[in-house]
Amino acid sequence: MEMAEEVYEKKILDKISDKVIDGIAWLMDKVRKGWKRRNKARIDEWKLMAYAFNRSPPGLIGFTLILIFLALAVIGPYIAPFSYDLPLTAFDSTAKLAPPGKVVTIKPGQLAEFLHVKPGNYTLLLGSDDYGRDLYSRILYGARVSLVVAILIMIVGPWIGIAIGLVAGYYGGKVDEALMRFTDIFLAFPGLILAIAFSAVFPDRIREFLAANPAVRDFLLALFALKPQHAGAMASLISVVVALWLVWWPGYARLTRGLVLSARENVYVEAARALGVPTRWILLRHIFPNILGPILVYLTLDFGGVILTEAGLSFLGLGAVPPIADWGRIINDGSAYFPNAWWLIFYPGLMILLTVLGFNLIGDTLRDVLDPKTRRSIEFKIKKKASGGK
Amino acid sequence: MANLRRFIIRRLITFIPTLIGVTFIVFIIAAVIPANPARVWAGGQKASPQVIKKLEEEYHLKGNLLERYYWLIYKLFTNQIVSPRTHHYVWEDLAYRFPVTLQLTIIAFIYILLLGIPLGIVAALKRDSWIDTTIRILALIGVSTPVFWLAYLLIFLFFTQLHWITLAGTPVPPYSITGVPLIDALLKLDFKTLGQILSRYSLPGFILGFMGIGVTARIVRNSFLDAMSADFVEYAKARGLKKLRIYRHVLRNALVPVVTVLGLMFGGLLGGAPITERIFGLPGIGNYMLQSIYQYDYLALTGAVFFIALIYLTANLVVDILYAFIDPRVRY
Repeated sequence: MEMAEEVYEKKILDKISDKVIDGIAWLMDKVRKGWKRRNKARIDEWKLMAYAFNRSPPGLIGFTLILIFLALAVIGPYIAPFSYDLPLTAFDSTAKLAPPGKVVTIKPGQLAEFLHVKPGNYTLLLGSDDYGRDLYSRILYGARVSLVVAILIMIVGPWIGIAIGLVAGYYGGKVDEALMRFTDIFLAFPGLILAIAFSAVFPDRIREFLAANPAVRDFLLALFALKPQHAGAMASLISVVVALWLVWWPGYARLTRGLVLSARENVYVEAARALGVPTRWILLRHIFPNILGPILVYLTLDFGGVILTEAGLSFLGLGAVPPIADWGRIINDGSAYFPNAWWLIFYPGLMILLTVLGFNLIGDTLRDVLDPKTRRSIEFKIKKKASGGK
Repeated sequence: MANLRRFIIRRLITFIPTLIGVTFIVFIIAAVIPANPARVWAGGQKASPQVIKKLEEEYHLKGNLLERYYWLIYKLFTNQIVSPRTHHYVWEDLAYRFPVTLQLTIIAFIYILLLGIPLGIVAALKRDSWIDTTIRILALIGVSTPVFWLAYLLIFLFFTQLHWITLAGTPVPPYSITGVPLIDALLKLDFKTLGQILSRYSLPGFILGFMGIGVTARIVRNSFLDAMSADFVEYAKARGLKKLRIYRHVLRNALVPVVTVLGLMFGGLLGGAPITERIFGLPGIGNYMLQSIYQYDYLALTGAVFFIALIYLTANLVVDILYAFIDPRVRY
């Protein structure tokens, strides 16, 4: 029996996703010779997942929302009309708490030059806050802050849990018992409240650390698109990051442990053990790559939750400190002028909602796509009747 | 049942180390604040050194951390700790604030039960229809919405525009039976107080329950679908049972996992909702913790953490025991 190339009814999106996946495969092949040949089945599976994803409207909406968010976070600070801390009241006293659509005139002069603003008429798209700072600009900067905070949390926090889960799952016995009881301690308590307690005590230490390590400080300032004089304010933001590192891992420890427990029963693990491969090597080279898939998916899904939690902490006054433009903090500061200056709450909150919703929509769709049952049904649906029909 | 008793004892044994673990972690974190808390309590920069010294001695601020932790827990247990911020005993503070959080949780839970479960069942019965999709999207929006944002939008609608709710005070009836105004008013059928409580708590309760409604609907839907594809349903259909009877069996089976999730949710909500309580100015446990943190009052903070962990762990335990009663298949 001949295995013909499977033919699918492809839409334009499918062709794009094919190209992207082929590109990734090409890159992997460059890095490691023969990768493409060895992983042909996997590449085809990925393409199929992409087709399934392309056929889910919620997933596509989520994907669009996230693309917009990422674009804003990357280029936002460059396209913002003003800096995040520029008080427009210095030029125009009516710019304080200006409603959306208000036009502000900046007259040429020494002040404009000193603050690096081009003179002219500006329409404040989303209004301004109590210092006369342009809300539209601050929301653009806020996208950067949200993204960087989420990434900083995600590149450390979950990995603590993953490491604990790997060790606990593989060694089992007393090690497992001890590590899981430790995890239980953290699970026995609402994460948000623990994070609140943590984030209140770190800022001073982080300020000292940043002062002692100017290279780290400058790197972080560049990441957050902040001015050097706001390094002190950044310390509070970093303290939230550290606090969330400490509470964002127990779920991952549980997840990884479960995955390791099933992965270590595989024949290749047994073979490696029989060959006398060191445990560390088995864990990192044989087990870890095979459980990485679900972990990475879970990490992506979790981004929305991280952004929401960080915004909540900032809203409580524990994260970003003014003048840093953080969505949660803008709402906190704006709440003093509610309901008159409704825009200070409405727009940043809407941004949080759309961003988090985007991640959750993608996550929800991915869960379907990764379920082999739904995937097969979609596969059948889109397969051309090439073999049977024509 | 002998097994159940053994299970409860085993759970109680792990209970205590967990409790100590949580409080110790929070204590360590809070106690090593670089700023001198005594200075903050005594009134900041212009505090007199004598007062600071006295506070340091009174609250055992110097010395070995382990010893200080033991001192604090011992004093908390014997109710000898006076919060330097509120000047009340910490347990009294907590006892005063707990009814607020409890009422908030009860009302949030009513929303979750009344909206989440029916929505989930409808979604399961109309699987893959537009109703199912809508409920799915609603659930996703529920977990994606920043509650502090939603709270302000609804305050704008119901308070500023419609004047349906109140945002100040905490209604307390002149009598006290259980100490929780909501339950007291219900027992006495005092509709005036009940109305006051509802107009004060209904919106915060909704905000607090908002995320849970969607989550519950999803869980109910999935567990309902699981139960409907079970063998006994097939058998019941083959026997020609009426649809309604079959649904009754399905519901009983489907609610088993739901009870677990709801129980944990209840325990979590009882731990205080700092964001909701802050927005609505409710003096609950969450708000108390926030204030303690802002004022470096780590004594009250550790006390509150102890209290919350106790509640949360008890809720977990109760859920586990309940599980054995509603699902006879569970054996310990």
